[in-house]
Amino acid sequence: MICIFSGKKDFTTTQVIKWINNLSEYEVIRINYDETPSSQLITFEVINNDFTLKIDDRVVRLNEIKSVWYRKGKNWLLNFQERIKIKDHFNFSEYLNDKISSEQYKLSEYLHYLITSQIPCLGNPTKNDLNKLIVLEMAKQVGFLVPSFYISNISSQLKKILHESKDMVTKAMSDGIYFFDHKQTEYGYFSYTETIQVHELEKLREIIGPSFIQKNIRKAFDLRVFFLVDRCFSIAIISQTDQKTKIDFRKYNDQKPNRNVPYLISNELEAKICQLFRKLQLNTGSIDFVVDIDNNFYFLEINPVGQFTNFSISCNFNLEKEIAKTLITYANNKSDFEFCN
Amino acid sequence: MQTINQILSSAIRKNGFPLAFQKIEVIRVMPHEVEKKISFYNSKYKHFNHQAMASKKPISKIV
Repeated sequence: MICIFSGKKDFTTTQVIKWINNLSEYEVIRINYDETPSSQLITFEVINNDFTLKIDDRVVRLNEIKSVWYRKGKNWLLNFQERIKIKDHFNFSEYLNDKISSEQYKLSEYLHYLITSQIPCLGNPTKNDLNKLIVLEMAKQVGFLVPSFYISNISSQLKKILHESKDMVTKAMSDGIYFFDHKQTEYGYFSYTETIQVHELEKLREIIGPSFIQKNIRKAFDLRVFFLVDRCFSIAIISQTDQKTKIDFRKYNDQKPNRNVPYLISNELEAKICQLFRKLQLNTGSIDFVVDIDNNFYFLEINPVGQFTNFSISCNFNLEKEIAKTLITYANNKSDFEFCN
Repeated sequence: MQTINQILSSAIRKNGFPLAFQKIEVIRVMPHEVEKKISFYNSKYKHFNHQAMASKKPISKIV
């Protein structure tokens, strides 16, 4: 059996499951982080360092699972406790909810520790939300160029930096805003990498939330590299000539989409990418680079769980099939695997 | 008249939020019903048992 931890809406997972079915006889179990007890009931028993899951009516023993893909989300296997709301005891209710979340989180951490120490896994349950700033430091350590950056919560200091170096962008240090409100407004709210000018700081108070500003690289093109167990699939995104996508290619131009072409990276760059992924204890993810007009490759960030289906289609990489093949190979060779834990 | 992006960005700016969150883009999202359909389609691939599917294939001869 191959087990996939994902989300309900993730279409890429569905495509990979179809490929696993096409290429092998393995049964697939998909566990979504965003299921409710009414849509997918999971019960389990942990006996020492072994456990048994029951997903709806299917009983799954740990040793039945031959390989795992941590595709998306976090805190899977935690949907069995409803939140409590005790009348006139709002604060205590909140405390209890926090307490139960903490209890479940510890259990989840243990279950995934057991999984990752016994089963070959693609992806890593504890590394799906990397600290971008630490990753920038690690990228420098393996020899990548990183655009210089500055962080402060003092708006006058930020203004000073913007006076000195006028071509700067700002972006979130965590993930940007990405929120869909289906209950009230039916709006989606997003933030992107944006240019920032001194005059935009004029009316700000002196102390603001800590803000990250970074040198804007005049790009020749964006480069996204999908890394899959020491293999790199690279895509050049021709985004620089479109005003909408010039700073952040994720501001897609639906009328005139950016051209995406497969790109052959140097062996040296590929070796550095492998080195960085090893340092991060990750075996899959996407790296974003920006390439300037002098052909310098600047590292921007790594996303361990990003979307890649669009690039897979436009560059004919068939990444979903490659992932399915990797999971099948892992499953076939489970007994030969060496585990770090 | 201010756009919804400007109204939200201005409110966020007044609260001294980090610069990265001061420019917000807002779009109408697909209706929840459509999202539910996507989830339903994906849910068909929640527990995929190859053997169970194989048994539904037409058989080539009657034994």
